Amino acid sequence: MMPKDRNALMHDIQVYGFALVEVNLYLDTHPGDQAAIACYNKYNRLLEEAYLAYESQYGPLTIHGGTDNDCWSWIKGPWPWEYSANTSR
Amino acid sequence: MNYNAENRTPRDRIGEELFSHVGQMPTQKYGKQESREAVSTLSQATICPTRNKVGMPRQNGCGCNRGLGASCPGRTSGQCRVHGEDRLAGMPLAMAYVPMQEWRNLYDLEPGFERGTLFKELDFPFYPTACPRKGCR
Repeated sequence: MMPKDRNALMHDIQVYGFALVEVNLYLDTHPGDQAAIACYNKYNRLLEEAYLAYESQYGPLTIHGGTDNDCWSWIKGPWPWEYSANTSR
Repeated sequence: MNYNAENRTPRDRIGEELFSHVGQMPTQKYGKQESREAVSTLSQATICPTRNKVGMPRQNGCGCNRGLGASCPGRTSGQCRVHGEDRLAGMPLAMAYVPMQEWRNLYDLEPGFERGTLFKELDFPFYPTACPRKGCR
């Protein structure tokens, strides 16, 4: 399978992250709902996979994302005013 | 201090006797089969959507006869009537009720992301231009 490009992975991260917040809010008032917990676990796993895939190919998404040993990876990604840092498609 | 006795919820403080006095308990009034309808009609009463993107029934453009004059049959002051029936009749004043959400009617991921909610039942677009300040017309 072709590896996903940067924007496709960023989109996945945004979608899974959004879904997780939704399920998070539901679970706050329904902490014993098994279907919601299963959904949370599923999206959490998918988000983790997408995060790892993104960071391994395109560098850290947050300051916690690690760095290459020979260069500070954080400054190699797009800056906030650059298109690819803000679009999801 | 007996914490449980002194720090009860508003509903606890009302007590069963008042509920039996004023009518049915909310959970009986808005039973499971009715709850979806109750959510949408109550919501319409306050948000006044101009467009109907999620297929909710509309009445009088704003979903509620509130504030209308003689054209509103059976109107009682300040009440929102649905199909001639005051759905809040008999409920204690000054108490707010939020129907409990259930895990159902979810959007798929992408449509949910576009709509801004994962839950179809919480997809209420707000279009504030339809209602002038003094009522629904």
